[in-house]
Amino acid sequence: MELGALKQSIFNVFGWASVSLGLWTLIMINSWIIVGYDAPFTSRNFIILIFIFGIIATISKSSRSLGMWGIFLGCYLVLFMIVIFFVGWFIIPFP
Amino acid sequence: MDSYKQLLQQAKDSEKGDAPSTNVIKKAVASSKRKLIVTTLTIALLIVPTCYMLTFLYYAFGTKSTTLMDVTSQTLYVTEPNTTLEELEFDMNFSLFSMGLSFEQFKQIGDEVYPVKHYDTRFMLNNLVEKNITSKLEKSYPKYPTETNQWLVHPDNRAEFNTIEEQRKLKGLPNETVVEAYISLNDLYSVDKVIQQMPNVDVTWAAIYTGVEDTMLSARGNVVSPIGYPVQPDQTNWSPFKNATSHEQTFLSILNFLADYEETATAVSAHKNLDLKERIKYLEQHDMKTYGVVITGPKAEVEQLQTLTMIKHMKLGEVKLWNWVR
Repeated sequence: MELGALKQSIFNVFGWASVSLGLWTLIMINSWIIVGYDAPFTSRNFIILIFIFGIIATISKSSRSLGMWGIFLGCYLVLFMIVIFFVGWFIIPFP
Repeated sequence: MDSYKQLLQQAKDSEKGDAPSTNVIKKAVASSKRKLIVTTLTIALLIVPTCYMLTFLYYAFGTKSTTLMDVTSQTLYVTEPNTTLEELEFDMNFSLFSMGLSFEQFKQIGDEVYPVKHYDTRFMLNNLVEKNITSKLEKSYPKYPTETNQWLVHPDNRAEFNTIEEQRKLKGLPNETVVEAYISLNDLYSVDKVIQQMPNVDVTWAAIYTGVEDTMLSARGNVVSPIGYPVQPDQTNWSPFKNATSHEQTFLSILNFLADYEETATAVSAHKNLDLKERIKYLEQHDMKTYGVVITGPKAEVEQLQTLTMIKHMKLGEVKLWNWVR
């Protein structure tokens, strides 16, 4: 019974880690846009971790919603990167 | 106690036994609060990046950023005498639902091209909402155009400046200088004829008669300003006149392009009104003739031009130290 509770809390930790990393990346993006500070977009490793933690969290039923939440944030960040990179390349005609 | 009360008591006791402990309830409430806070935070943090993506998509598939840039640059080529722009001097930045465009404007004075103005513009979607100009010019063109304060004057119109005073200023300059001058002619001439008459200086820009310059008022009674095109071959990559076989045709095609964005073009230019449709209609029905040109060259050569009968007015522009190496 205690081993089960431990397992459950570990999966929950992965779920919260996934969501927290996603939110931290979003905070960085928000501050970059609002302040206009040209910070390098180096959150690729963060996004990979968000996905890994999120997938682990979906294994357990109790932390599945957190895992899905983390994966959603990861997907959103990937979409953001794609739009900013490709559309940005399209609208700024300079090298 | 009757049997009914006993039954009730038993039911209450069993409820108490099945009910979760206070700790479990507290944990559940805390977890639910935590999730609510994080959900709200997530939604709040998604707003700005989503708007930023929408901004990028608008400038890619709505009013294109490159279109706004072309409108801005081509407007300056045809409304600002003796102007060139450099491609790599353009700087674009994007914020929520707006685009910033900064660039340098150049002028040929003598044999060299100098940066003369720095533009900082901001478009809110496709509307120009901010225009800051930092000028390095020693002589600024009138900021608020009227019918008579232009430096290039139609032969039938009146000039506010005094040509004799301008000639005296020119005479007082050292011979080791190069100057820019705004020459108004006594009639309408073809640009080629004017160039032939001035072989020892560079004719950089020609103001074209579009049917309204004799009064500087359009048919609707709006005050207009001179428009024209650069005369010299322009090899700048960014220039719409690069490799143009006919500057006249390029000029007309620029006007047709700008007519679709006239509001933006008017806001970008220093002109009060462009009234392009009326002027395009005139140009399509008549040959292009000039009533004034901007020239640049050694002071002595510009001074000699005063003997030409075709010149009616002269306004001195920028002056630089000698750089004429021909």
